[in-house]
Amino acid sequence: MTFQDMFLTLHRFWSDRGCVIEQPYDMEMGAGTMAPATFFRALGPEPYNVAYVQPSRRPADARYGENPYRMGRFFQYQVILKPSPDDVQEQYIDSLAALGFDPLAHDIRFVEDDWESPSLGASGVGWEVWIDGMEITQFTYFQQVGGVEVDPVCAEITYGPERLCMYVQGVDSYVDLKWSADVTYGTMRKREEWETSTYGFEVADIPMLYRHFEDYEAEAARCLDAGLVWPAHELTLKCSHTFNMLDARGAVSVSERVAVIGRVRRLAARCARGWMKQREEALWPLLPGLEARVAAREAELAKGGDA
Amino acid sequence: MSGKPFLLEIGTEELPSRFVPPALEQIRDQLEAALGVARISHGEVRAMGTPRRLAFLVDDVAERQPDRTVTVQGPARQACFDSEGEPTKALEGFARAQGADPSAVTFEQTDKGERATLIVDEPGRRLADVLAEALPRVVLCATFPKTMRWAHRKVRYGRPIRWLVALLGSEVVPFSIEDIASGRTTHGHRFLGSDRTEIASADAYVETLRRECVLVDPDERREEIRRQVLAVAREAGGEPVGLDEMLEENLYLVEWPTAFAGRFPEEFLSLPPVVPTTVLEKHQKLFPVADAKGNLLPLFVGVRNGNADNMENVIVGYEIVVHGRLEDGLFFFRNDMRRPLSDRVVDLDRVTFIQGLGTLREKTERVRALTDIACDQLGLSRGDRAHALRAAELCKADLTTSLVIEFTSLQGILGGVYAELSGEPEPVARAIGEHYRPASADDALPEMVLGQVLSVADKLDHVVGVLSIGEAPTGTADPHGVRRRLQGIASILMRRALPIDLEPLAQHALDLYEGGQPGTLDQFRDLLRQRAEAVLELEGVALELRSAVLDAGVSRLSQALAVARAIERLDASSPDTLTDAWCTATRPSNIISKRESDSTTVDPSLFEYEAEPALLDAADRIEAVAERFDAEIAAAPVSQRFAAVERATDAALRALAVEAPVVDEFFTVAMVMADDAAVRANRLAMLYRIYLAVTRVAALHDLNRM
Repeated sequence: MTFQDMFLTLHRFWSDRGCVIEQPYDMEMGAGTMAPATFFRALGPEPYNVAYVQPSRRPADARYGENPYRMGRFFQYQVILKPSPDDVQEQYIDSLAALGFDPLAHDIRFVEDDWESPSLGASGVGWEVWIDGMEITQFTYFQQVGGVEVDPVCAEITYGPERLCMYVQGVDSYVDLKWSADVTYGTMRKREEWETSTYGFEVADIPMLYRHFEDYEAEAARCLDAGLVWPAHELTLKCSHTFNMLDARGAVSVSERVAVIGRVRRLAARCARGWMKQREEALWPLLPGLEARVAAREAELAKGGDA
Repeated sequence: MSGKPFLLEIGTEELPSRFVPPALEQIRDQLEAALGVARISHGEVRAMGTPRRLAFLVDDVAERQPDRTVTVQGPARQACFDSEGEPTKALEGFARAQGADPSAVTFEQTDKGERATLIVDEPGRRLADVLAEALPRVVLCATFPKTMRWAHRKVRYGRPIRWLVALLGSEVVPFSIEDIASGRTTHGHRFLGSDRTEIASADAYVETLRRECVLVDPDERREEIRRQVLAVAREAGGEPVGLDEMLEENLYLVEWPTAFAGRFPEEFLSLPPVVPTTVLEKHQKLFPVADAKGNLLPLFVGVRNGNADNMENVIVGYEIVVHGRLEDGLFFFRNDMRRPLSDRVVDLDRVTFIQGLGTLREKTERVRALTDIACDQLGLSRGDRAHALRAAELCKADLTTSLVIEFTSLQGILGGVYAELSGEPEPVARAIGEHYRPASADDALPEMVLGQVLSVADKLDHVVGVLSIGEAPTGTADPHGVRRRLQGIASILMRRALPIDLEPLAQHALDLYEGGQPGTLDQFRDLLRQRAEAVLELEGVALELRSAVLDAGVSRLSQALAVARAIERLDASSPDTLTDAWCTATRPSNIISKRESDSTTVDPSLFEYEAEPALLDAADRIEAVAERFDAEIAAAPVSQRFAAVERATDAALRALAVEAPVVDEFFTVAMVMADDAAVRANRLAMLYRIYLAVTRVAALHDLNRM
């Protein structure tokens, strides 16, 4: 199974189970959780099932392309099932079977690993899923997003496609992964990893990054004041990535770290509340019974108008 | 057997292994309590579990509560009869409600006056009914370290509850938690078993699950894992390291264990051994393997949650992961080794110690200053002192290394390794390596005196700092680990009889913070005393004896355990001697609270009885005993203090015992509280001198010898 086959298989699998197949969000971010398809959709009472690939950037994890597993830019395959179905673990295991893993021929385990993102004000409870000792998936029941307690709770399934595929193909390094039948991951990305690692660790202009951070932060706040939660969220993502760049560059001291993460978290929390307000005003469009709610509101308004 | 077996199984998604044992205990206790309250007789209650189920089997449960008669009180007498003496509606209503004839009602005097009373037979309820009511509470009583919600449900649990089985014999006991209803359907091993299996009756539970590839009994599973791990490790050519600890770790990760061995490239044995060990144990829950001399081999043993089929896949997978992690470790290690450890000290300027308490660099300097004073107190040689100070300077430098950032639990240990590799003298490296010990009540103490000194200085700085900004522990909350560190200090001082005087040292620690909340040192003494009590309790020292040795004061804390041991030994070998020593101590101590001043000046011209000069002589001798006690201890090398304190204590107690008749005679003939103020003060001064001298050894009067 090639790297691209894996994505196609997962798309087919989750599409057949009623998920929206989203496209990757076109901005730098550390994880698929930060994309609006998760960050926003996990909030509020509306059901939502979605799957997508999200390219993810973590400059501090870069290894000049030399580590067999760690890269500064990699992929996540993200699934959100809201509310979490009672058979969510079985559905997930079926997806592994669809990828060609016979559970009887491997050691598959759910190992305690609670997830937390201080910069998103998000946390959840769950596991990392091991296949023969290798972590291939983060499995989380969100409890909080943007500082808001979620209800209902969704399940987030985040596959690590490189590791999963390395395992399927039996190769020791991401470099040797067959992306398509005749092109390897290494051909496509190794030089890029070396360059972005060099940039991130050695070259990136620290004062510029600090300036950008300040600008994005101020702009995000302005958008929030104007009720524009989408651009505010995008600018928050930019803040987060800029912070990650500074961190990789070793420019953030331990005490500063907490403070800067706090600034990003405050923006994320405002985005979350802004989104909730927007959806509530729209009467939670994806919640069954919208027509009745619209009618009720119109009646309410009409009554108000009479008075 | 008169009753039936009862089974409760709570099926969950995979619970974290550390959640399972406490939950099993709590639910078992709650189940037993519920049966007790309901007056249901039963046999043994067994708790069993795996990552996916918490199960409870009760033997021989009575099917009904026993019948009983109860006394029911009704309306007051005057309300029961009208003016003609006929029964009122109230009386008839009361009788009817109890299913009795009004003529059966009697009257009893109660504290609310005379009231209608009926003795009613109460038939016992069916067990199934009692259980159906109690079980939701029983299931939900478990307090997990962290709980969660799932889907739309309101209930919180360690992980989602997916099914409930409740069987009394072969009958389902119906109850539910929100929309999850009990039944007889369980689930076998996730992959090897059937998805759904019916349990015919409670007593078939363990065997039904065995057929479904679940070894539900943890004791059986533990022994099975042990047997397999030993066999596989030996076949691969070694012995598993840390077997018992890793057994517990693996026990609640698997339902059907099968052990396997894997290898990693030899080059990784060039890493400090703690790195591969940590990767294997903490990250991958694998058993490291060592040769007969304890040297790590490039091998590991793992336990799969499954059978032996296709084991080659599993082995290859774990080998790849271990390889990758060690590769990362080696990358960090080589990175860190580019700079000697001492170069990193300046980096600590950028690292906050605790919010409000400055940087780690500043902390390092304070620890160095405290180490210096402690070295003085211990009279360490110039060479030792130089090593201790160097270790203090470097002890936090490893916190900026990549390997410690990646493997936080190795802080200090890796510092020691890096110090050695950077060419620091061996004692410096060892002191750094052990200065976080003891990390908990059952952790080992630093072995070397230098490590002990550094550990005490580091912990004391931490504790005094935290107290100085008003963040003392409250209730169960101790965010900065003050209690744990104080217990560490007390443990090192007492168990090694390490003669560090914490009074001046704590004062100095506070001065180094330039101020702090008033009362910081009082708080320090109080908390230290509590932790010292805890250490002595763990050592099995009796309550009064704990008081006796700790009442000698903070400055003498390091002697407390050794003194206690000597007292215990004398009590065992010659209890009368100990009682005599106690007499010498106790009568003076009982009366000196009446003294009007702390004067110890005795004027022989005020003596009226012969017993008084005799007592003065005794006081002189007892003071000499105390002097000798201190001198003998001080003369012993630091490393042999414990035995020296024990010997000195034994000698002192025997000498004090000899004085008992003199003290007794004095109290028999002389009236201490004489009318003449000067005479009174003179007598109290002598007794006070005895009291002061005795309590240098121990507050013997705290003991109970009558």
